[in-house]
Amino acid sequence: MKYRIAEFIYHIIRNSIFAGLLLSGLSCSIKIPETEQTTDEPVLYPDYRDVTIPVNIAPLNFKLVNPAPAILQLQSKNNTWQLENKKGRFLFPEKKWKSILLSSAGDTLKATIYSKQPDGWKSYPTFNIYVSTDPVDETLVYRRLAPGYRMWNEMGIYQRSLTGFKEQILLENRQTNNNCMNCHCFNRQQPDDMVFHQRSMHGGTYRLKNGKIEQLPVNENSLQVTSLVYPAWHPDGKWMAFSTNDTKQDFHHADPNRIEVFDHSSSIVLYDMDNGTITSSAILNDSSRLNTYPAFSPDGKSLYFCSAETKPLPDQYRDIKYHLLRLDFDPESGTFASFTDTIYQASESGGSAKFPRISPDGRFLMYTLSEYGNFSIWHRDADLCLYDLEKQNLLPLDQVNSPDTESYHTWSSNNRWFVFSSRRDDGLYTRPYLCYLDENGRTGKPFLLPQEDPDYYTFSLFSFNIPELVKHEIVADNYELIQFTRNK
Amino acid sequence: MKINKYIPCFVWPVILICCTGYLFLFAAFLLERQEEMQLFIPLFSAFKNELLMPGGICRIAGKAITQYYGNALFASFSNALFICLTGYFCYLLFQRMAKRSYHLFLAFIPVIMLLCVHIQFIYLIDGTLALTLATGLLYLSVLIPKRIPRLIFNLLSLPFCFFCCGELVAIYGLCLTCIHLYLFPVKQKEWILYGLSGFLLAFAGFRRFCLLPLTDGFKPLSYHLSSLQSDSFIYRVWIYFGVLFILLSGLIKIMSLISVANKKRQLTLTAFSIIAVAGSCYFLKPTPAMMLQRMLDQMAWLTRRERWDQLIGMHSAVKQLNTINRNYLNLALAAKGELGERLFHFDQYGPQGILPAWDNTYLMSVLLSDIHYQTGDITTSESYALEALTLSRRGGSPRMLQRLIQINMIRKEWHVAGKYLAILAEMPCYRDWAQQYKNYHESGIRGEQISGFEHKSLPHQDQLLCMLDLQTLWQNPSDTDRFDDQRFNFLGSALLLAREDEEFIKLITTTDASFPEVKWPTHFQEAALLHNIDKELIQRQIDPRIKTNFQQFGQEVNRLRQAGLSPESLQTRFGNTYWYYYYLKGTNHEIQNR
Repeated sequence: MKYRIAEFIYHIIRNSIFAGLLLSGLSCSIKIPETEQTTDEPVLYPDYRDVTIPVNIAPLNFKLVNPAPAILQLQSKNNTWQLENKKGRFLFPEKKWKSILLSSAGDTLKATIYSKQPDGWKSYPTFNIYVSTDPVDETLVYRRLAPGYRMWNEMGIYQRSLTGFKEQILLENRQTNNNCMNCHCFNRQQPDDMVFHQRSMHGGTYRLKNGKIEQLPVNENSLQVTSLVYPAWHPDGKWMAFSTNDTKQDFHHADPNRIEVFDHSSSIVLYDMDNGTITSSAILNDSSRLNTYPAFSPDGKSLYFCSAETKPLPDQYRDIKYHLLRLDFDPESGTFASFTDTIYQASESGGSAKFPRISPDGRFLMYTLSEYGNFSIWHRDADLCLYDLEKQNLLPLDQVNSPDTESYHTWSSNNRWFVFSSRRDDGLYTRPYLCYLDENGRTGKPFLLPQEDPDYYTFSLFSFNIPELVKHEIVADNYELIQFTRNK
Repeated sequence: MKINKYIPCFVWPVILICCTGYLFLFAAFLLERQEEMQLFIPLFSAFKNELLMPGGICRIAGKAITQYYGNALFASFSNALFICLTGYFCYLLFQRMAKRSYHLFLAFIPVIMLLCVHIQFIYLIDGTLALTLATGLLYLSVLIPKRIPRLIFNLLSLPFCFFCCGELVAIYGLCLTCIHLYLFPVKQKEWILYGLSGFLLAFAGFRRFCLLPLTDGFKPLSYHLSSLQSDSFIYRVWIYFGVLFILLSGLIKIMSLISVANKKRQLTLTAFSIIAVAGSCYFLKPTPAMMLQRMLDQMAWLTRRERWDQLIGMHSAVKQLNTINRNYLNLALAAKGELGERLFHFDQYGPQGILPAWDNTYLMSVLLSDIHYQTGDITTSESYALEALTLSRRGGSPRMLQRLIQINMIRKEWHVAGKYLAILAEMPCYRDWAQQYKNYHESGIRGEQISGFEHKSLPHQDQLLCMLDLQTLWQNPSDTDRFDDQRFNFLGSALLLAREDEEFIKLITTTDASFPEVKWPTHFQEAALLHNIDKELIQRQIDPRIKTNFQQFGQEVNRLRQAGLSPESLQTRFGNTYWYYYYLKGTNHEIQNR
């Protein structure tokens, strides 16, 4: 016991000193020792080899999976920087990193790692980091929670600066009786207008507009719904579409997918933001179908959504396959057309589509595809798909998808970046990945949201849920937000 | 009256030993549960953010101490130490007001109050650490004789207290004000500043740093007990402590005005103090609810250490058990492979004694995960382990991480198992275990058989759990060529407890058809006799002694009936048989119908 306490104190001191040493920064004058070239690829975590990054991203701190004294050399067209660390943990000083990116924008950074092995220094093959001149939106908003099934405990909605490591609490359930909060949603990546739900205690749908919070009222003459679930803003801000889902979940007895979440019924409704009236249409509110995941097109003239035939549940849960449909919408009158266009025909293609998201310029439609069902985060085969709405063809996303789950995704306001959730790291914990997409729909290699400590994800038992990109930081008074929701 | 300066030096260590003993007796198991309900990774980078929040220092210090609660003596001693330190600082403060021997008794009152809360599950040592720091700061403050240095110290101590203890600063400011008023001339108006600064800082705590407001401490006890986190209950304790401290200080101030030149008065005051302490001691008396909780914690403790014999022994002399006792007992019997042999040697009542209903708590999630793991139902065990991980109080549960590592290795989910192993490898008390499993992990990745997991794997056929009944779930072995003794015993016993005769007969006959070499356990043989199964099976499977016993049981029942006597007198001889359970246990209505 005595030894263990001493060891703990030693741990604290060691880490404090270590952190101090790491802050010593980049240098241009570290002497590279004589090395032997190896063809083995360096094993990094996070793996930032050959990724495409925005010019304004936070430092890509990483570590060698097998700790060893190491030197990292970054080379741009005109400059060379070196970073040395005794454990192979490379933490870039923020200011220096920014200047490196600015001087390398539109160019490639060549990174070489030299590592001291028992038989001498080795030089690993150089890898590239492509620095795009297109910046990513400055802020990422996500919900962070442990991946429980029936219960939840600590969770919150947080905003994280993508240009640095600052994370701020938007709303945490510590102050609201550990209730559940979810489905934060922004209008066209604008941080000053968002909605989110709270469940159980203080339940309701809330709108945070220009720092002021209100609970969305429901007009008495509206269509009666039990609760509003998946939201979608109409671009002019007057309307919102919500799905209403009667959702159940159950466990697989012997399947790589741990749980199954399915809707016994679901429909889509339209909410008038001015007077709180809820309406729908015959197509969207059809009890013989399961309609969910609404998304308005950027011009506001169409609603994309997913739709499947109802089947006896849970017996036929594997037969529920969602089509991806488009329905014309008249924003003036708030009415929908009486026929739909099919974007993805589940019965022909064999898969099930969900989460349609259209790029802000209206050119690309991204959605998630898995074998069946609608809750793709628990489906290991779930992949992202990219559809070119202009050329009406599917584009390959081989570089983006992994053998594990890829699911929830949102676009950056400049169309060049998207963020998505993936479980590729360990198969259970959802992490946000950022990915570049050029004007022709070609993607770069996605990269994990950088953290100040490369071990952050290793020690975190939380999933990052619903990653939403917004143009800049949300300005809100947490206290008012908490007080308002506590009093509901 | 001058107190002998050596008496406190003797008394406080004695108090410390007594407190340690009290906590060791009544809270050792509870403290261990606090350890398994927190995940503290002792890496600066892992706790940096929490440390820099107001109150973070006490929280981190609390977690750092709690991680060693696996050692019951250390757990009891560390808690007692901070309780006694707080009491000792109170005593020193009282002595600054007037040097009286009875202050030694009055200073025990806060100690008793803190002891009472330390044996409550919802409380954590963080709260007492903060109180120790705050009372220490108060004492340092009154040690400063000059006004200006004292003013500077107090003004600096307020933000320091805020940084270390969070919202406690409001109570600290208030206590500082009172002590100042009691000890120094009222015309020194800086006392206003202390109280005000304390409240302002506490206000900034929840306004700026999103801390839980101190006013949450005023909420009813039921609110705190149902809360997943301890913060609001700690606030409640702080408020109570603050009020107690101010009242005691006031009382001491008043008592100090009474001259003790007269011996009679001196004795009266001492007697009053002793009575007050003795009265407070009443609250230390363990209540029945406390004892029940202690037993529950003890069973969880024994289960964690797999001390099955002790767990079974705990129940051997108990005539009537409650459901949770039965759950732990039956788990222990199953782990020993004696469920079918000794199930009815103990008080049983219905199948919920084998498989309890989930009640949204950490403890039940752990128990259900353990039960399903024993039966080999890996998926359900994992689901409850994840619930327990979520419901644990501070960021996770190392115990459940151990379970999840085992499960993920069975599932061949090497990445997530590796992640959990990396976490445990950083925790001093789990490092050795993690190293051992790291070796298994590496063997598993290489495709080698992991020792201990030979009989555990996922079933071949998938189905949603809601579409499976218990029989199918526990009868669905992963490898049909292999007899699974645990499942057979669990399922058979559950069917016996539920008196599902047909299903039970089906189970034993189908098992016999597939595995004729398997000898049925005693209670299964008893049930088979009762339900009159195939003669050939009776001949082959039933022990002649059981047959004889059964005949005697029938004769005894008939004799008692004819004599008009209550058949319950059979308990002495047949109370540990299935027949007795079948006929004589349960509701009156049930018995009459048999």
